[in-house]
Amino acid sequence: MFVTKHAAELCALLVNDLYGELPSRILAALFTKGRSTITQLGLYTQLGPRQIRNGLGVLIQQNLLYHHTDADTKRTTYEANPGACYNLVRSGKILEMIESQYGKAERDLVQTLLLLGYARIAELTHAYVSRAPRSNGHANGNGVNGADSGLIESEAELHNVLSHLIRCEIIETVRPQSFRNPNDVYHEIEAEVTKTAPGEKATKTKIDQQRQIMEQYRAFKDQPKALKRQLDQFGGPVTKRRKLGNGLGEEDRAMEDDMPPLNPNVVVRVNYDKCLVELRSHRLASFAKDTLGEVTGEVYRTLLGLLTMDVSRCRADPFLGEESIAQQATATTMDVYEHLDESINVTTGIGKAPKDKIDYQSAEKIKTAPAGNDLMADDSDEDPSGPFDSDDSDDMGTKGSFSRRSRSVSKTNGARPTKVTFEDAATSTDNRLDQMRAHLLLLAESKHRFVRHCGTQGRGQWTVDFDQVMERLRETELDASIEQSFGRHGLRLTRILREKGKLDEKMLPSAALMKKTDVQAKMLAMQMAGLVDVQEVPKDNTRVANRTLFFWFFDRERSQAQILDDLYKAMVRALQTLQVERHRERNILSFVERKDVMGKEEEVMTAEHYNKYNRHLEEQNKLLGQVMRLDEMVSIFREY
Amino acid sequence: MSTSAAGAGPSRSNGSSDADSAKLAVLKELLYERCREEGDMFSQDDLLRMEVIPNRDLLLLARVVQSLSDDKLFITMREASGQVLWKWRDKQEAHKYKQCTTDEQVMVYSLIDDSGGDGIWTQTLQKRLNMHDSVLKNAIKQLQAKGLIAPFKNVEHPNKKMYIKASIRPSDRATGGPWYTDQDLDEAFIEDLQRVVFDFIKRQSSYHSTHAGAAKAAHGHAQVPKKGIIKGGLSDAAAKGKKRDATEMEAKPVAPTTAAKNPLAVSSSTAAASRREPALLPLPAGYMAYPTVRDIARLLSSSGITNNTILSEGDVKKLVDVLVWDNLVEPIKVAGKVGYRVSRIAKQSVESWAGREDPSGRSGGPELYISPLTEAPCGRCPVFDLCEEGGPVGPSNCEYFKKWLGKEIF
Repeated sequence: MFVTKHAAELCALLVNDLYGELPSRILAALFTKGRSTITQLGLYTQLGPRQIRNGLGVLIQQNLLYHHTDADTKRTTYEANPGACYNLVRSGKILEMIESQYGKAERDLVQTLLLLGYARIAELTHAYVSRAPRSNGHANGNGVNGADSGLIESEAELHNVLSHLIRCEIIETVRPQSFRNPNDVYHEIEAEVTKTAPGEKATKTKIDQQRQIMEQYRAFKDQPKALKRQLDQFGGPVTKRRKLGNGLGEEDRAMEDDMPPLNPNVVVRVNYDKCLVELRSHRLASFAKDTLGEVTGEVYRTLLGLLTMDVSRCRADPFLGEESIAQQATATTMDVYEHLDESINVTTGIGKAPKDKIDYQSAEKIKTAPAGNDLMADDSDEDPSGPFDSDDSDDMGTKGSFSRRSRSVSKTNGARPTKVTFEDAATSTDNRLDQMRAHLLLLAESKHRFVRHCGTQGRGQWTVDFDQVMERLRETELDASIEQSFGRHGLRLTRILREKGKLDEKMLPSAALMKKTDVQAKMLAMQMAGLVDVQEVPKDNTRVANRTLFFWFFDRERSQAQILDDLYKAMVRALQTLQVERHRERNILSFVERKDVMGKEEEVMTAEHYNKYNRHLEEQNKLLGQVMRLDEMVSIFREY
Repeated sequence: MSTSAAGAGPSRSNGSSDADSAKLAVLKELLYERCREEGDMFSQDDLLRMEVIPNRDLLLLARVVQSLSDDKLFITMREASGQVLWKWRDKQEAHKYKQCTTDEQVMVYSLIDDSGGDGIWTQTLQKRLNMHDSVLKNAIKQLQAKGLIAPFKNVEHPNKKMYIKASIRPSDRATGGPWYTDQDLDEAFIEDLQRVVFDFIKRQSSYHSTHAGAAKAAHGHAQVPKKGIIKGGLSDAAAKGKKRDATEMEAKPVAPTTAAKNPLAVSSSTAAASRREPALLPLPAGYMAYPTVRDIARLLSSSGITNNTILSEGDVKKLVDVLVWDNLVEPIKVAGKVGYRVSRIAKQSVESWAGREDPSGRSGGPELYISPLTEAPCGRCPVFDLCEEGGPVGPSNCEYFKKWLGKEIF
């Protein structure tokens, strides 16, 4: 990961917030100086070796460092792991996601693991068994345990939950190798494979070598999943993910009772890559919700849940290249239908149109390959042999009347006085399926290309080209921030440049329907902000201004990098403001932290102080909420 | 015969030369009329073929044509191949040349005449004619006084002093087309048109769902037209659009009263419609009746919003393109034809955007996605680049954060 100054600052700040100043100082030194040994760190930070060792201990326990001991020199070097540091800010989001997707017990376990960094299974067992009689007494104090909270109460239960999460790849095993920088490992493997002994001829071909490197690297990457594979062998296929929001976790886990006991010496930690996949699905669903509506978003979420079941990371590993996500998962309409939450009313959310205004051929078009970038280019061929033509138009017809009934009959658009046909409950399943399909088709038709209709089995197969959708999402975010900083006109100009590439200055005003002077002012402002830039092409060698062409262009990558850095900085500032606020209210806060005050603040404190305290809590919520939202954007630009 | 006689005896009596010139006048008239009937440009052969000139007499033709050219009824042109062609000029136009009293005036006027609707720059005139500055200025002044030429501004070169014939309108290129009024880009016009187009697309590309009776009371007939059969809906919408926009655009000073009424109506309606707000829903996939550029152009022309400006389909396409670039609408291709629909349909309000006096221009307007970055102070901070802990501006003394957190600045 490329670390900017603000990213490093943010990571140090997060560590400072959670683990104190000592690790934070060491981390900051590692960020600025790069890979270092303990002696070097001592020089950089002016700390004693003892303190440094303490600090490093904390950092390693939390997986925030890479370290490596060279086999020959026996020297250990330490290096910051910026990705892991940044992930600290996401803990809350991950926990929330785990709870909604998997259940309370899973959330509890993941929370424990996040607190511990990594832990041996034996330690976990010990902790949970010893704590079992009491209600949850966590440092974080989530005092919301009801009687049927579904928390882990026995060793067997713990193992069930654990193996479930391991099989879902949320939890991975830790080995000494896990603390090595993947870049290093790759280069080491590369060096190992390409090295020739003295006198030996380099007989292997380049391709052969490359394949060997890939294999070894993949073996390294797959190490943490060894346990998952082992479990998979015993437990058959992965149990289906629980549906959203219903509390049927027990049965799910009960099915895994015949698992072999987990080796108590295995060390486990949370696998952020997989968590990010889940978070991405969440974000995409809300994107769809934002563009097309609530119900459509829910359908999309279900589909994403099915498609990402076996996706272990959002982006392909740069070293492994495309291969790792080569085989694209598809889901059929029936699959989606089975997993769709019962409570979602798919009859709503789509308007109705007269049957003769719907072109089923283009709606049902099958696209077997991801479309190119041009929206208009792809539909030139109209193949009339859609297998759904006849029967689907019928279904749509009934659908129209059905949705009419489900809403109210008194509509402003009662233009057609056709009689409402009341269907019996017997056909409602079919109807529901068709209505859900309508949502999927809507998603496929959107300019954001949420899904691709890629086959006809099982009433239609669907897949998601994540690269494309994410590119659209990034674009949307970028557009929004341009729109809000430079107005509609700024957005218009950059979008013109994005569409047309480099464009002569003289062309812009007429295309954008803006005054020449306005265009120039806007472009200059945006050039200052680094969004657009100008290229001068002299027509002859006099290079006078009126014999020169000026081409404006928009550098997408640079603006994305820039916005990312701005996001880091905004996050840092929000967190720093929080610190300032905390410092300002330090008297009240230290009072509240007292054991005898905690939990009964309202009784103990004076009204004035209590109000102040409450206001501070509100501000804290606002600031942290903002940080979370910014993180959402960071993930969009960086990880998803 | 007669030409040779005329040529042989120039010193003949006055009577014969009178007859000669009378004959010439008749021939001139004939040839001119024939040309007007026949077409645009004529070569020498074309003129001979008209059989106006007896015996296909070349010399006579030369005299006739020369005379016509002198009277400015013929324009002489030269093709790239070197062939000489003639074009006829309107008699009234030709008469204007007669008003030019000096040669300079004729030369200047003919250049301006040639430049047509695009007009001509004074510098170009001077370069072509190689006249003295004062002579040129004098000629221009006199021509202007006679009402033959008029100064005008070309939008492409707003700083150049240009002249055009007083009798014709500047070309579209010189005026900038329908988007310009008095050589200025009419931004208010464009903005209002955009709103009308946006509203139209929004109405036509969404399903307007009202829930039960809640919305009925307050909104009632003030609502957007219903989705019906597209043809009826179009004219309906057009009529409606015309009514509303005309009143709003004309009665700008009076508008505050209606604008003041609008929010009231909206707030009362939201109060009445307790939870179930009317909302826009996307239309099913494959919907074919999304408005096309042609539909929009038809709406604009039939509604008469554009007063006396005529918008071609290309102009409307430009307008819609801008809306697409603004992320307000999106193109969608169904069954081989490109229609437009509103972006982010789920979040758009059912109110119409056009004809509002709201200075922020936001109410009823398109709902855009708000970036989290710009919502917080940092995203809009004017000194974001300077902000540094320990610097002149920093988190510890940030005014914007204070305001954002709702703290008074003490």
